Amino acid sequence: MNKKSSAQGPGQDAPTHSVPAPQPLSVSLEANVQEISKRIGESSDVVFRHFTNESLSSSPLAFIYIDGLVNSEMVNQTVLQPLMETVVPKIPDITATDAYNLVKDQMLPIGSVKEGKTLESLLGMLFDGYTLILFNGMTTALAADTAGWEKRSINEPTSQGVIRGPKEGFTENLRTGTAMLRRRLKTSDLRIEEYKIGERTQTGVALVYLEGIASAEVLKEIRRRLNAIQTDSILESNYIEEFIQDGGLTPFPTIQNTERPDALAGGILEGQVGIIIDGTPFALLAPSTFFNFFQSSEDYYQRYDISSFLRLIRYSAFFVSMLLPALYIAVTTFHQEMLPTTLLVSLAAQREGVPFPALAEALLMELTFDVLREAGVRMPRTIGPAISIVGALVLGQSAVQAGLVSAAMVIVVSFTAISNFVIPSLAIANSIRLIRFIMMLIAATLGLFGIMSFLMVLLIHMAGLRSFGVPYLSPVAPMTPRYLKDIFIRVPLWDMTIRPKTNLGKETRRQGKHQKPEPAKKLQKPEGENTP
Amino acid sequence: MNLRKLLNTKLLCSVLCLPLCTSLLSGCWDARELSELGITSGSAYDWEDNQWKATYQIINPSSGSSSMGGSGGGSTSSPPFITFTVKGKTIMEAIQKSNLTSIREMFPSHSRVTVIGDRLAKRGINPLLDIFLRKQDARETVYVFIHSGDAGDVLDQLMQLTKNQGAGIQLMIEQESKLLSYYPGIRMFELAMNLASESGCAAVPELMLTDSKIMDETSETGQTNLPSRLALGRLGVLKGDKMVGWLSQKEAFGLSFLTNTIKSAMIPFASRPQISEQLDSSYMIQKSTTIVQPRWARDHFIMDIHIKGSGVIHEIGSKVDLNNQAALAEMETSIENNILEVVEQSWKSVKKLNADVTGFAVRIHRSDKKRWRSIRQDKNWDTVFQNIEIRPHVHMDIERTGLSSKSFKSIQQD
Amino acid sequence: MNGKIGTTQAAMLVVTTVLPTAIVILPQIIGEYVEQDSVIAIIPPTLAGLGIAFVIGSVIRFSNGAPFLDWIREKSSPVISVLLGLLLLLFYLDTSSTILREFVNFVKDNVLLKTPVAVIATLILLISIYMVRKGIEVMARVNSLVILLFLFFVPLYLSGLWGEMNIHRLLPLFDHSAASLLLASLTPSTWMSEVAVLLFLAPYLRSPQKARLIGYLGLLFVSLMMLFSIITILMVLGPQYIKLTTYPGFSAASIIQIGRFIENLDVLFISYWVMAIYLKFAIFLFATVECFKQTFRVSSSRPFIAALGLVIVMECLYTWKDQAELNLYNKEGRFLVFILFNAILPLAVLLVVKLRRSRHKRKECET
Repeated sequence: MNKKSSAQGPGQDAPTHSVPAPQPLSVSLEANVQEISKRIGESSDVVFRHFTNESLSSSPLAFIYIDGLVNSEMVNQTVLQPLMETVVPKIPDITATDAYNLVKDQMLPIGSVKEGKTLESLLGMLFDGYTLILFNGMTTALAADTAGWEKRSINEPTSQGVIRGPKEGFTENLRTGTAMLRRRLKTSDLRIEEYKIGERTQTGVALVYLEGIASAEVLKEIRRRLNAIQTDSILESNYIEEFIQDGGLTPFPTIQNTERPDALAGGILEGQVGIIIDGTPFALLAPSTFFNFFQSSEDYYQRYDISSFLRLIRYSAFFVSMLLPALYIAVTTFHQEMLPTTLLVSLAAQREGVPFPALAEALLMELTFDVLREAGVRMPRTIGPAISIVGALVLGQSAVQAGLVSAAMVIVVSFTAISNFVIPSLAIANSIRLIRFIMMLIAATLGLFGIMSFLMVLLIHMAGLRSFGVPYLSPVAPMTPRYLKDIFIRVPLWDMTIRPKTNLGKETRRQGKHQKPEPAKKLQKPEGENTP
Repeated sequence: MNLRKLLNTKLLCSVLCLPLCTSLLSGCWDARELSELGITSGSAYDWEDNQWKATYQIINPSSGSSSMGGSGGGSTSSPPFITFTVKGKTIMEAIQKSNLTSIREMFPSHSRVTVIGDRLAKRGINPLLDIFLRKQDARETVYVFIHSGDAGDVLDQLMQLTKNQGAGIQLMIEQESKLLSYYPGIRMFELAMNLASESGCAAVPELMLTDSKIMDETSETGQTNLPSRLALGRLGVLKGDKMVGWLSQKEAFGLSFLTNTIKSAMIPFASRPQISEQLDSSYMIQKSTTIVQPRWARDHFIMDIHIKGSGVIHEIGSKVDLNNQAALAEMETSIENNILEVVEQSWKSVKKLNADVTGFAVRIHRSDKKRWRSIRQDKNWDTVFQNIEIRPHVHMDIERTGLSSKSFKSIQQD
Repeated sequence: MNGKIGTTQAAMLVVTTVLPTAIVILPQIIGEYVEQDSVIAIIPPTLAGLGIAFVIGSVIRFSNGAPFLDWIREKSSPVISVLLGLLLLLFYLDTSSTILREFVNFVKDNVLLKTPVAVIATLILLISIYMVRKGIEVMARVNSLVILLFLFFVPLYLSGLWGEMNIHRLLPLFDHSAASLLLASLTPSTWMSEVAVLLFLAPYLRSPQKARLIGYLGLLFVSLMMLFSIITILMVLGPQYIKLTTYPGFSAASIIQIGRFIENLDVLFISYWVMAIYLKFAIFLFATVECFKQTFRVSSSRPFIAALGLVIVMECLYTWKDQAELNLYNKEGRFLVFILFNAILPLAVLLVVKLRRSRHKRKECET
């Protein structure tokens, strides 16, 4: 377990599994360079550079850096130039230690210079874009932070767009991410703890939270789980998510992910803990309850009335997406009495020529839609329109005309599909894609009774679920009425005086009490002014 | 420990999945595809040759909704519904026998009307009520009608302006009770409620054909003036579960006043009763409430019936100045007298039938439970009912007189 | 997994313990005796229920939330505790199986006419076992959600039936003799006495001192709902019609008509009711398991839940095969059994404890 905590101390548990003992540097420069070169396998992108600076020492020094990970200009200007060009008055009998200290203290005009004593730590820094400076006769080496690789510029988030609100999204760079967060939370309470996870990927993982607002228990738990991860690779935030989330076999996500720094900041301000992972623009937020997944950051950028309305729409879309095909099956094969007569007759007329039973028809269409959807994600952008035409025209219209499926079923399936996209979080929207099929099977066997029974199972499951100790259905079950201001509806911002989550943090008040904008206390009206 | 836990949950999951799989394998017991259902829109019951004779009207889905996409569109010349008649010793036997002739299972939940033949009505309809309350898919909210003659004939008749005849009849009776108020439609559960109530009587409207011919071919509905139509007729009176007689439409109208079921009604009246008794004007009641107060007068009950209402003048056939308060008052009295007459006449017929469709028994029970108890013990309600004296008090208000303040006749130069 | 539950949650559990079956079965049983006086007939059972809640609450206060049988063992002897435990276990097994049977019968009568009883019973049992395994905390949460859903159904029910209601159908009041009123209130009292389940929920109460309050709150809400249900049914269907139908509440729901397209809503109400009765059955299963656990002093009840469930489902399938038998039991046998176990037994325990305590005190005073 290689873990490096930058500044903050808490939670530095001892590594739990054995790693080969770190190898200290040898005195000989050449031996060190050889060893490093051997370890890296003489990869072509590693630059070894020997040089001598007579004024420092007679023996040669060496730079090592990885081309592409460093900013070459910076290396030239801040490392190479000072070290190679500066001529200091020659000190007689200069020892290696003197030279080392001289370089370290006077000759590296660069922010972060670290010392490394073992090969492993040096290699780690090398992969982070540091430039290593090795001295002959020293068992420590210097590492100057010259990191600067090609990275994507900040773009609009692609998966979580908003109409009104900040348009910038996280990039793959961890440092950019933390910086974006810092820019939003200019408080000394913001804590950023950094971990390296993954034996081979050494992915940087930053735990970000607000001291005093995030719950200490949750933090402890997250740290424990992060430290317990033993894997060789972390390539995306889902790796972390799956390793640390509760209730391993649940279809429901208990950790949110977001591409938006404002959403992350919002979550952190409400007492959640953010996890930013290097190499992916998706950051994680935990603990998350079921209702968090229906809140979009845009809810707070729009007026409260429309936000509340949209939120109710999202919940209904969730239920429609989960239940509509099942309800259709249940109603048309079990409870035909529930339909208005005219609708029943027209449904019956449509089904006259359809060869399949309702269940088969629904399964067929649902599967078709899932195939189309997957195709839509995978296919090259240039042939996208073709697929849409095929999907809409051929499968929709022609299937009905050919009498394979009834028109009502196409409507049901399309509406189900559209509803699924209303839910702001893809994670929770995906969770019900599979549940939908189970629902359909049960509905075809036991009708509404079956649907209710399965809903009961889901409800029990969700009521028993926890996200880092927070009940998944809180604050509705268990009920905490004062936290309901931001669940089904969103009350005006000035009324949200306390943090709405059931987190366990200390400071719950987030704004003053009487924030409702009102006209200033009425002034005494001057005599006769209001007579027309 | 962890592994055991995991195994446990897995075990539980598989145990949970087991009945699911088996149930899926062994099929869906209660599922019925739409194409297997015969959606019944109306039913008729009659008694013939000592057997139940039931007629069912089943909607033909492929007719009518031809504009729907897919292969649903059938030929428009196929009839919108089909009927078939079955016979059996019991109703259920008859219903089950229907499967001998029908390709579809009967699905009665969407039925709108039930027509009872008068032979059956005279014999007793208890088994019918029982089946409607007992069967899970039978619908208690069907409207009930009596047809004098073969009840099944009514269901064969095609209707214009609607393809679903059952729903059409429902609409007809609902409109009637809303606009005309001769009689309210009675639904199966209301019928059961009335027959089970203290008075044990109910009134069921008659559904009849205006001509002996039955229009049962789709080509025949192509004409504008059908020679034979469905129409609402008299009001059948049931006592116990048997029909005891009819009330004419006018008597039924009076009964509506007695039972407070007037929603809106038209009263023809003589606008100047001193000059001519001829009914030359119309008054529309827009609101009417009836309060019945029973009172014991030594040896019989007196029912004080307060009818209070308001409405507008719709038609005037004489020279009358509507701005004249005295003329209006005179007209109001004329209207009131008309209503009084209707009520008295109706009461006379009801008394003759000796069937308490007025619900007086319920009123008496509610207001005088002690006396009601003794009546029930002596089982002499019929004689008590015969001795009831009614004292109707009518008060009608003319609220508005329409858009013209004078009658057209009064401005004509003569 | 078994956390503690708060006072409101516990009161809600009491509501679900009594209400789901009461609201469908009782109106007809009461109506048969006293017709439109059913409204009044609710009051004596409520008082009886409150009395029982008082007794149960006092017992819990004395034991301060300790498991009932353990507490008895401590106070008296293990023999009495085991004997009592066995009797109670029998009682709860029996009651659970009748609830399951009622549930199954209802589902079979109303929605799934051809589905085999065994399938329905097994499905219900499995789901309830799942719930019980998740623990009382989860049950309480689900329960509060289901009760919240109720708020959605009441307006639908009321608005749909508004036009059909006739307040005069409630008249005349006090038409029936006191004897028939008493007779009518016997059966509802047995339902109210189900509040005794609290004895086995006691170890999970966050504040066992408030057990009385929990009982009162729950029962008052139950009788309020019963009143609401009976009044609406009477106003819609009239006193005579109620006697005819087995499930008057759903009969009333089935005549709801909103506009020309929302009709036949009984299935909707039945679906909601199904959720409530799942909870009721789960609560009784939980009590059974808890009783078993305390009687035989097993540390973890988890392995036994399924076995107890099997016993219940067997009893449900074979003992109560005949609906007439169940009706007879509901009408006649039930009262004795329930009053014995739910009222007299705790009352006896309470009296013994009080007597001992006062004797103890007297001794203390004497010395």
